Amino acid sequence: MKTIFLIAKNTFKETIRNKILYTILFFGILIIALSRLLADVSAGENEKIIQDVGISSISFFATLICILAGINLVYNEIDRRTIYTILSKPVKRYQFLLGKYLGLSFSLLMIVLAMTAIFVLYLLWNQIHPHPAIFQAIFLEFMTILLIAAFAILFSSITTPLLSAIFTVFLYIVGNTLYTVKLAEQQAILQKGWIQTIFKTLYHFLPNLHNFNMKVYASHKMMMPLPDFLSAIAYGIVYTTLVLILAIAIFHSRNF
Amino acid sequence: MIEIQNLTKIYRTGFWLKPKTGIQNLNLQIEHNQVVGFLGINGAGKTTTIKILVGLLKPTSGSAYIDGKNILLPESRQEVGYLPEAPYFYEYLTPNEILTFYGQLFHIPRQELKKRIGELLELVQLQHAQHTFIRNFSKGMRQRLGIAQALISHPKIVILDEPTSGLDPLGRKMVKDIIIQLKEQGKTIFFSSHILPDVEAICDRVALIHQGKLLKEGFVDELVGDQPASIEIVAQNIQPENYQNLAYKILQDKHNFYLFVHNEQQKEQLQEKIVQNGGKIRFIIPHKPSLEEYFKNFENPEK
Repeated sequence: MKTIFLIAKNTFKETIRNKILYTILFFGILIIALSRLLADVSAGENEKIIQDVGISSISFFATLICILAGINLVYNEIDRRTIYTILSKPVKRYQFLLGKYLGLSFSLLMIVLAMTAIFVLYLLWNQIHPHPAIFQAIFLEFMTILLIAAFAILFSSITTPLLSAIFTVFLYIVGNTLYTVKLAEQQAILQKGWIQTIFKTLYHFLPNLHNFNMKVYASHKMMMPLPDFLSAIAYGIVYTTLVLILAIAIFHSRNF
Repeated sequence: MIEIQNLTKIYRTGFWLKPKTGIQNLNLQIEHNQVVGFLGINGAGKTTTIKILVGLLKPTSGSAYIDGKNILLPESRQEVGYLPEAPYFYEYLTPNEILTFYGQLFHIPRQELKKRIGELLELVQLQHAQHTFIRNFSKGMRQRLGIAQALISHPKIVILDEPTSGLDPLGRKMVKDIIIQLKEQGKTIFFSSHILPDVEAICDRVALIHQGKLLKEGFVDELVGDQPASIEIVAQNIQPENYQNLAYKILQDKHNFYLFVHNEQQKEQLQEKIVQNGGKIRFIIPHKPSLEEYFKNFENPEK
């Protein structure tokens, strides 16, 4: 456990010393700050728009940082050969990969917390009292980010940053649209046959990120029902664990 | 002790995963407190063997043990210090930070680690740069840091991949001195090189690898022979055209003529003729065979 923690600590240092991260963070905060303008130009529902934009901004920019940092994390270690001096020590390969994942996750947690703190201050400044549903929504967005980080690490262990980015973004988009596909299927918009079989398979194997999306609840100041909330957390933990197990299995058999 | 038994590594490369042999049925035994040089030209299989020993590559078949522990287990690396070829480190850290990180991976207590880092930075002459970010390091400084990290845990077995490459003459001497010092401390050292004089100066034994196969193992002189590959005679006051049938190459500068012969017998004849014709012999320099020349004879090792 100590070894995993050491690698995580080092990964955290690596992530927070990356200057690109601060640029993205700056834009994230800028969008939160501009949400008031958007609210002013739209008719009514100021509070709802500020909250929606705020949560979406945290989610989008933290995911962007997650993908950019995640796809390079293991690949750079292999490409720059820094992995040689680590795996040649009494370090198990799973310890290395989990350390990298935990370090990235902790960095992302800090980013989400920082953006949330700024968002809450901004709400208070606009005399909006933050409803607890906002925190529930941000928490579930963070679960999505943890799952995306696991995918980014998986791809980063087997392919180049460019391909990793394509695969991870693809999963993020598909994961967010699976629910719509399911609705289409239920409403018999999709014709029976092989197309439906493909969609059914995708629906069961790809991550359904809609499970974590509770922005609708938050913007109506409603808490997500507890069973749904807990099942979303359980889904996130199980899926993330499975992706990490797959990443470890592939990484274990790799030659460097 | 390092024991390598029938070790084979076949890489799969390209789109069609075409097999390419890295090493083939390699057998080698390195005894305790020996300095063994692993020689071979580029692409011979030295790095492949070393990477398998330190767990970076998985062997296709065969096995290897370090102090009786199978190299497939991370525990086998507890007593091993390894320097990769042209080592790279996290650019955003300083030598102090990176050595602390590596030391912690061996679970070395904090106070002991601090002391050890001080000793190692002094050994590799990097004290002045201990708080400089590694991104500002030269190639030679990275190599020195690489040696320091390999020794962080007081390893019993030290495996160095091309430890003198990228170093200036002073740096090369420093590495040789460190290896001699490690030997005196009772450590076992296995290092690869393609620079024969470096190896000759410090090794107890050498192992020669070519095209993935172990050719020979033993003392340097036993392997390359103690006969010079060529003999150079530096002479003055001679007419070069008189010696063209004896010397295979004649060079000239402002003061001297440089005549090259292949063997002792030719040297004797040439020497006698120069003296007879009133010439003056200034130096006789035997040139030892280079590793490259030696390997030229192994185009077909079965012969």
